[in-house]
Order: sequence, then structure tokens, then C-alpha cells
Amino acid sequence: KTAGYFLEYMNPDGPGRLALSLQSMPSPLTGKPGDATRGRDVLVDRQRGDCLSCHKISAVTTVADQGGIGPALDGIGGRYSEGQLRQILVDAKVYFPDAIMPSYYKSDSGEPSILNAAEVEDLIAYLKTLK
Amino acid sequence: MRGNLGAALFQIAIGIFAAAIFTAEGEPRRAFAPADPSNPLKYLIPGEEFLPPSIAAQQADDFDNPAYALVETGERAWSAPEGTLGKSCRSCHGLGNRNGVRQAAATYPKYVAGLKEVITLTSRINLCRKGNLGADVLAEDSTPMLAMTAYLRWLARGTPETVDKTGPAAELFERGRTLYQTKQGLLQLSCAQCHHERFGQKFGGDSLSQGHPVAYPAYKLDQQRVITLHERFRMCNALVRGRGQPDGSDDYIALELFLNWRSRNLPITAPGVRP
Ligand code: HEC
Ligand code: HEC
Ligand code: HEC
Repeated sequence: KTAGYFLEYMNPDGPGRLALSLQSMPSPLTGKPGDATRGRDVLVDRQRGDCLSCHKISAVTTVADQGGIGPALDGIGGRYSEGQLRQILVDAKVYFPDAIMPSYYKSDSGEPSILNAAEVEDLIAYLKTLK
Repeated sequence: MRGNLGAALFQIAIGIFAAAIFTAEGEPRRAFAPADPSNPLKYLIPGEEFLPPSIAAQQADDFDNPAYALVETGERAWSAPEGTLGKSCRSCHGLGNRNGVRQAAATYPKYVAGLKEVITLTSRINLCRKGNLGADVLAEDSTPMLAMTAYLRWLARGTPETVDKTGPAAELFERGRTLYQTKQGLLQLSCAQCHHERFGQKFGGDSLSQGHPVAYPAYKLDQQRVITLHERFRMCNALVRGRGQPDGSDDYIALELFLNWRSRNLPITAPGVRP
């Protein structure tokens, strides 16, 4: 990869912008690893993850209309550790107050969570398969 | 006299000379200059520019536009006497294409001094029905109301949006502006995040537009019926998994006022056709 690619990747709107400041949440929310097959279901389910409204994943060929608001998630499992993916899903707004990426798991506030802990772990297991 | 003529020519010039601007994807799009320098948008892009060209063409042609039947229903109702006073809308306003009424729809929501309130076009219709025809008021989303609004908005087709946010309307306008920027629903997204910061990008199968209200009421092809602007707001509320409000709620009137101001100078294109 060229230096130009690196700059593009790390620029404030580039796909790597989260990586710069991301911390890691190393422990699974459920105490055990999730299931990638169930994770894929959560991802495409319009009532649950509905991630493809905003992201593209070439490996998911069953959903025709994929969004372009967020970065494509192809290869995401190679770019981020499990712990970093957990932080992104739980609350990406910690790092970017203006993030569009929704916070999917709110454990301590009184607000309702979009997903439960097991669904977040299943999603992480699926995202890790995207290499 | 000369000043007025100059102003009129200027109006026509900005109305007709739509510049082509280029978006991030490099496609040319028609764009209009906003009427007010304080408009947060640098240029106004009509919603049709984000549609498949076949749908935009369907909307522009009365014979193909599936909402046109409703316009005709409205046009017939305009001249049909109703209510206890034996009058029709036409008894007082003449033919609908007479100047005043032709462009009226482009000025709503509007402050009405007698009521000390900002009202929508649907409320105006109901006021005339009740007070001037002696007829019952129509529900916001009933077919006869959709027909009358579709007709009045169709009469205003091509007229630039001219809503007034000043004076007594200012308070409701500010409420609309604030709501537009408020994060909503489980996804915690504001109208501005989708329609101001991200227009041109894809949300699922839809291209996000700038979210202008000038094409409403509009025919939704996937539902095979005409929807009100406020129903479109409810759909956007549902997209962020938030709670919608009924047609005619104060919040929705405030949003409608803000959106129409934000569209000032865009020509009315109602009734729209949407996927
Ligand atoms: C409403 C739009 C939206 C939805 C829905 C959404 N995302 Fe995102 N996502 C974004 C955006 C935009 C970013 C880039 C950071 C930002 O600006 O918020 C992002 C960033 C990410 C990243 C980091 C990408 C990178 O390359 O740095 C991952 C991983 C991610 N999202 C996964 C998901 C998953 C999994 C789901 C579903 C459970 C999901 N997103 C749902 C908009 C969304
Ligand atoms: C008895 C006379 C009368 C009848 C009948 C009548 N109107 Fe009106 N209408 C008025 C008057 C007077 C006004 C102006 C009120 C004002 O400015 O406060 C008005 C205003 C309006 C306006 C707003 C025009 C503007 O520039 O803001 C619309 C739209 C309208 N009427 C529609 C209708 C419709 C639709 C009907 C039939 C259902 C109808 N009117 C029947 C007298 C009438
Ligand atoms: C998650 C993204 C999202 C959010 C947040 C959102 N909308 Fe939308 N909106 C859409 C989509 C998708 C459409 C259909 C495609 C288009 O025209 O943009 C749409 C359409 C519209 C339209 C119709 C435009 C046309 O020409 O048909 C209006 C008006 C509108 N939105 C207003 C709003 C308002 C007001 C809010 C806040 C209460 C809002 N939107 C919040 C995604 C969103």
C-alpha cells in the first residue's frame, strides 16, 4: 500500500479514523465468546442490527440494498481486535461525539439498549470472520 | 416602479436559472440558490435529483403521475357546493387558477392574525369549510383533505417556496430549527445528520436527499397511496427507531415551517412521486 493510501485511511473521514484513538474492551460482555452464524442474523435483521442500512459488506450477497453512510466493513476483522470492535459497537461516540455510528449497548445508563449483550458478542464473532 | 421591476426580474432569474453543481460522486445535479443568506444550505437540490430518472419523469407528467387522480378529485370538490351555507370554494375564490389562490400553497404554514397562530394549509382549508361553507372539518389524512391539498399544491406547481418565518412566526420557527438538530430515537440521529451532512449517500436502498418538503403530498409507489408530509416525518422517525407524532402536531408544524423556510426559492413540485 502507498503512503497516499495510508493518509487516506487515517484522515478524519477515512476508514481508519476510529483506530487512532480506540481503546479496547477486552472482556466479552457475556463472559464467553459469541456465535458467528447468529451474529450474521443480528447484522441483517432490520429489527436488530440493521447494519446494512449504513454499511456495505460484499460477503453478504443476500441483501441487495446496502448503505453507504458508514465505511464498508469488508476486511474489518483484520483491521480491529475483538476488544476494539466491542468498544465500537457498545459506544463509538466516546471517541467521536458527533459519530453517526449508533451506540448499540448501554449497560449503565437508564436508556434502553438496541441490542443485548449476547447479540453484541455474536456480532463481534461474525465481524472477526471478515478478513 | 423601476425598483419593483428589477426585483421581479431578479426573482425570475434565480427561479429559472438553476445552476448545475457537482456532487462528491461527480454527477451533475440541478441546484437553486437559497433565497436567504442565512440558509444553512449553500445550494438547494430538488428531491427529484436523488430519484431514478424514470420516477422523476413520472412525477413531472400529469398523465403519468399516479397522484393526479387526486388532484382532479380536489378540482371537482373546489366547485361543488357543500355544507349548510350552499356555497363552494369557488363561490368566494373564483376559479382555482386565479392568482391569489394559485400561489397560496407556497406561503404555508402561515401566521394568521385573527387566530394569533401559525396554521398549515390543511387548517386553512378546514377553517374555510367550517366558517365559510358550514361544512364539517376533514381529518388531516382523509381522502377529501388529501385531494384538496393535492389540488392547491398542484396549482402552485413551479411557484418558488415563499414561507415567512419572521414576526410572530419566529418562535415556532426556532422550535422547528432546534428539533431539526435534535438527536432522536434509539439510533440517536438528527434530521440534520441525514439530510444536511449526508445527502447524496445511501441509506439502505434510498439516496438521502436534502429533505425538502416541496413535493408533498406525494404518491408512494411501494404503498400505492398518497402520503402527507407529516407521514413522511413519521417514516423518518421510524428509521431512527423513534416515536412518531400524529399529523398536525405542534412539533410537526414547527418542522414544516423550518423545512419550508430552508427550501425558500425551490419551486413547488407537488404532488410528488416517490419510490
Ligand atoms: C445510522 C448509520 C449506521 C448504522 C445503522 C451502523 N453504523 Fe457502523 N458506522 C457508521 C458510521 C458513519 C461510521 C464511521 C464513524 C462515524 O462517523 O460515526 C461507522 C463505523 C463503524 C465501524 C468502524 C469502521 C472502521 O472502518 O473504522 C464498525 C466496525 C461498524 N461501524 C460496525 C457496525 C455494525 C456491526 C452495525 C450494526 C450492528 C453498524 N455499524 C450500524 C454508521 C452506522
Ligand atoms: C364565504 C367565502 C369563502 C368560501 C366559501 C371559502 N373561502 Fe377560503 N377564504 C375566504 C377568505 C375571506 C379568506 C381570507 C382569510 C384571511 O386572509 O384570513 C380565505 C382564504 C383561503 C385560503 C388562503 C389564501 C391565502 O393566500 O392564504 C385558502 C387556501 C382557502 N381560503 C381555501 C378555501 C377552500 C378550499 C374552500 C372550500 C372548501 C374555501 N376557501 C371556501 C373566504 C371563503
Ligand atoms: C436515518 C436517516 C434519516 C433521518 C435521521 C431523517 N430522515 Fe428524512 N429521509 C430519510 C430517507 C432515507 C428519506 C427518503 C429519501 C430522501 O428523499 O431523502 C427521507 C425523506 C425525507 C423527506 C422527503 C424528501 C422528498 O423529497 O421526498 C423529508 C421532508 C424528510 N425526510 C424530513 C426529515 C425530518 C424532518 C427529519 C427529522 C425529524 C428526518 N427527515 C430525519 C432518512 C432520514
